[in-house]
Amino acid sequence: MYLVRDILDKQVVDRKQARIGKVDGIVLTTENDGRLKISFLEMGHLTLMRRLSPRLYRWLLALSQRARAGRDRCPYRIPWSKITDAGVDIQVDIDDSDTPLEQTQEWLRQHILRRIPGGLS
Amino acid sequence: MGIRELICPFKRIAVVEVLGRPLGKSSMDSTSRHCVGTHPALFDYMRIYEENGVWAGRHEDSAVKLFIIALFLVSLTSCSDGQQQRERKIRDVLSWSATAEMVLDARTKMLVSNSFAILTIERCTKEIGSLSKELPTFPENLAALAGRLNMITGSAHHELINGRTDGLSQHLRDLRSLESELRAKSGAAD
Amino acid sequence: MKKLLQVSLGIITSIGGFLETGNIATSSQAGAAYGYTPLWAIVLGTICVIFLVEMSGRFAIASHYTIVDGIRDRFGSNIFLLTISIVFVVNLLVLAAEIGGISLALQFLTGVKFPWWSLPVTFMAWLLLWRGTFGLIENGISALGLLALSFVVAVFVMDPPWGEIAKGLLPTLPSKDPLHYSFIVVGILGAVISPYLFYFYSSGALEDEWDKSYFGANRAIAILGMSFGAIITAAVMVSAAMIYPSSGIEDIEGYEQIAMILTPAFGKWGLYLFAISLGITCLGATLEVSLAQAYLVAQGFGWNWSENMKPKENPAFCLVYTACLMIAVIPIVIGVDPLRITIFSMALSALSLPFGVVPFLILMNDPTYVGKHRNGWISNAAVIFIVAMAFVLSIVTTPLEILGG
Repeated sequence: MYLVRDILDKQVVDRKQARIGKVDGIVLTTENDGRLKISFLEMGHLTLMRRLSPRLYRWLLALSQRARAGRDRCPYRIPWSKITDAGVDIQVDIDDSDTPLEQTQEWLRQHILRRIPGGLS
Repeated sequence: MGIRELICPFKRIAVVEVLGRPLGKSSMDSTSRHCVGTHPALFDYMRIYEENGVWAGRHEDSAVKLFIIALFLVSLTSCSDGQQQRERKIRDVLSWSATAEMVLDARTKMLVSNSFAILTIERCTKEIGSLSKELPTFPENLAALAGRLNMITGSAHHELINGRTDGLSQHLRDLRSLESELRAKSGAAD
Repeated sequence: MKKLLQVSLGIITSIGGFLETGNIATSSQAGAAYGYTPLWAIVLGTICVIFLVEMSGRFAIASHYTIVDGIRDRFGSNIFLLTISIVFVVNLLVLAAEIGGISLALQFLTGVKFPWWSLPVTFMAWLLLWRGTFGLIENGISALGLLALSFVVAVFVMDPPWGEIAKGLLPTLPSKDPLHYSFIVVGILGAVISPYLFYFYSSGALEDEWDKSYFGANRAIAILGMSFGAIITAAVMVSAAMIYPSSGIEDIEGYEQIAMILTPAFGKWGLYLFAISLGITCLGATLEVSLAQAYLVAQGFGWNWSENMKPKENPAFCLVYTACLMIAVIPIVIGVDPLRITIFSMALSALSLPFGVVPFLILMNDPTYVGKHRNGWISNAAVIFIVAMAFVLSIVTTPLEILGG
């Protein structure tokens, strides 16, 4: 299996086959003997920005840290062990309510959809 | 698990090929420092890898920019001359006046609604008016001719608003004769 | 057979969805200015779009990806962001033009000026999507869009010179003003080969779960749907060529001039037929382009997507098309002439074609995605040639037209 060809930028689906995002980055760890192993899949807009332009990434990072006012948050990472299948999509053993995407969706529901008639039906 | 990886030439990746290369030093971003279990040296390596740009990303950028500039210059060289512009404007005036004719003709035969005729004549008047200001007055006073066209469409507009259609055929005849005059004079003026 | 019904429905949807403000405007302009001679541009554009639509269906069936998924996967997020941004921006302009088309149709029917209609029209389009009923109404709108066949009927009623039409189907160079002619050709190509069309098609194929048995159906829908749609577009050009030059109208600069195109054939019904055809086809296009925008974002970032997405299920998806509609309505509500927006958006469409099509072509030749269903050399050659021509002509003529017109 090649990481770039088969994992990166692939669709990630959760237990219930719902789409929860794309693999934006992969995290490797070095073991004690210096070898690398895959530890996490990373998803998030910051990771995407980092691939696009380091300068833009630093700026967005500063912005999001200020927005979160002290709550230091990691980019969202899925442990490699949670992956159950990797074919057309990457299947992970996660519930979509844990993902930041779903949390953003929930925020949108509470703050924006509520103001629009028919939004919550 | 050792990782051999073919770096895809298009993807700027957050993952690297590593086989015992020395890891240099550079800064880390603060998010990773607090995060779970990733080795700091890893991010150093990734940073270096991205900076060195094994893939041709950076060179590609400038090549694309040059290409676009070259194309733009080519397009600028295809500039038009004043003659063509003037002919175009005269054609536009004639087209709008012919449109007014068409709609007045259709209105007298009750083929279109009054509201449509009114809005169309209004548009014709507006367009001929703005175009006539850009027409030449020398050697033939085309601008004045267009102005007269405008007056006819204006009065036709007035009649339509008042719901009368009897005078429209006269307006049509006036328009037609003015148009042929404009055509003759602009042809002669070339 | 169920598949026969599906194929017929697909063909009807393609015919009804083919015509929209871009085709109508560019074809009328071409017919009025150059008679039957630009007909070959429609032929060329249709050949290209048949290949592209068939390819996009084949891609969805063979790879189980949409085109956007495939681009992100094959080329990485950076190229994906680049191409999708370009397509997204052009689509916004096209969306504005379509909203303008519906508003103008209502202006012709009621006499109330189009800026007043722009907000209610946009609201209605938004509501149709917001209620999550696009799948239900898509077929209805496309069926109503068949009213555009009245253009074809009009041509037969007016007894055109078939010899001239046949000559026009072969590429000819113009006698006067070759740059303006090229710009008109560019507009036609940009209108016929709309990127949102085949991006949307592949999404539909995936959502309807087309499997390998649909290859033939896909081909039938692509060829028949696009060809009949092209015939309607050609009928618009022929009608324009028959009516306008003889009346002295050579340059079409406003939709008011186009609105009377059916009057000689249908008398007092002509204006109504035109307005209703324009309104319905533009409404269908508005819904499609808005959804296509949401698809671009959702498929690119891995969200859920569907043509019947309810806001509660996926607020972000629905807010994308809401935002697009809100942005697109702005030029219409402030009164910018919809014809001008249409022509401009079609030229930009042609200009952006390589960015939308070339990655897709590369995918169609990559066995990792489509396996043994790769493109033949004819499809590749035809599409590359036509897209390259559209792009080069567009680069050369668009700045001139903007500066001069």
